[in-house]
Amino acid sequence: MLLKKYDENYGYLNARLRARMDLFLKREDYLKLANGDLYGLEAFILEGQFGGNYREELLQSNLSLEKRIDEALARGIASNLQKVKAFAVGEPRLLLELLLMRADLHNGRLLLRALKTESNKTQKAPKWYAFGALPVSLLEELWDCKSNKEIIGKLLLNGHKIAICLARAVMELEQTGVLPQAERKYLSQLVRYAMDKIEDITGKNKKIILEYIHRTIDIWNFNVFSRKSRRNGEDAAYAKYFMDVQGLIERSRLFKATSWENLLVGTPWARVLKSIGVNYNEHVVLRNVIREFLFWQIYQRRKDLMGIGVAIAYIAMQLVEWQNLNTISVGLQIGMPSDQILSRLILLER
Amino acid sequence: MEKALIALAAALAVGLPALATAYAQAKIGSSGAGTIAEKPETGGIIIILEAIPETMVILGFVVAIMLILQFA
Repeated sequence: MLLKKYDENYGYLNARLRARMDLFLKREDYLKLANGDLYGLEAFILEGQFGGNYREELLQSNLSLEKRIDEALARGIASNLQKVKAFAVGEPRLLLELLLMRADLHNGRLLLRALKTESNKTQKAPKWYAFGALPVSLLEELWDCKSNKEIIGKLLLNGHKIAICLARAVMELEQTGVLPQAERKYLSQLVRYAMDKIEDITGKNKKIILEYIHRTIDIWNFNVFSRKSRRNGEDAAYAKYFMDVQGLIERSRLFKATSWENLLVGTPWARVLKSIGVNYNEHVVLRNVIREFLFWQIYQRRKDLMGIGVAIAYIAMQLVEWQNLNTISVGLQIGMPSDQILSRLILLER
Repeated sequence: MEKALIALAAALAVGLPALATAYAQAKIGSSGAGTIAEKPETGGIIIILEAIPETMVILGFVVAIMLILQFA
């Protein structure tokens, strides 16, 4: 401890997280839910870890059953992840804040897209991820703003570094009117912020977080690459949206590659090629890339019991469970057969 | 001179395991606290796990006594 800049409590944090991992739903739980009905799902949620939030929604609102489930799951996950952050002290706290920045990335992109299409003027605010650094109340305020300048003012006034990153992205959108450019600006600003934060950290935890950031950059680049490969002959137009910071895949490779095989073979993403087979389309590749990233995160729980990997895995597992429960809820609402619901779930047997 | 070396050996026999025990107990203690917070029923096992590193100091202490009684 004397040699480190930050204090840490990985032992305590990871013990709590590992104990909580036992609560995640298993394949047979999902099977039971998918074979049941919405009322069964409601009863299940009432009894489980999302129960507290569900009861609150049930008592306080006049929402429909479907909306209550949706709202309770969203609130439940936010309160769980905020609680986890509260368990951590020193280095793990700082790293958890960076990991939960994915909520700020998601929320910021929602806002930027709404500003581009001006849907914030006509539609209700979307469901924000409530576990990021920027509070939902601020996002709601931003949504109701009359102009981009007002949004930028509010963000700068807030003063949080992430708010300033978002302000710069809104400025970019205001100046250029190009959404991908504004989104790219936001992501690159967040990456720089994260890099600054981990500058003083040393050792294997920094290495894992760096890989996490690099993989996030790769996911962005894959999306750009997907558009580039769909529009032959317009390479240059899309190539400028590749991130300026390098991920696990070199920038030169991104520019030169003409197919997914060229791009991924021999890289840490090579396993995606096995899972997509021969006949695939862009959506399948992108979905499998996201899955691969999730599996990488979940695998981290086994690598070091006294490091940040357990928290990375916990957050990923929590997000997967949320997504699966939402899929089941939507599947039941539209009367989808249980086998089709199950085929859309992400089951973590690996 | 010989007595001083024996005293030093006895001190090391207790001191080094004591440091190792302290380190191990700190790690086990913090992890144990986290586990008990989530699963109170594991309390008994955690106390046993917390006590296991103590054996290192006890053995070190026995070695120190033997050194002193044998050679001093």
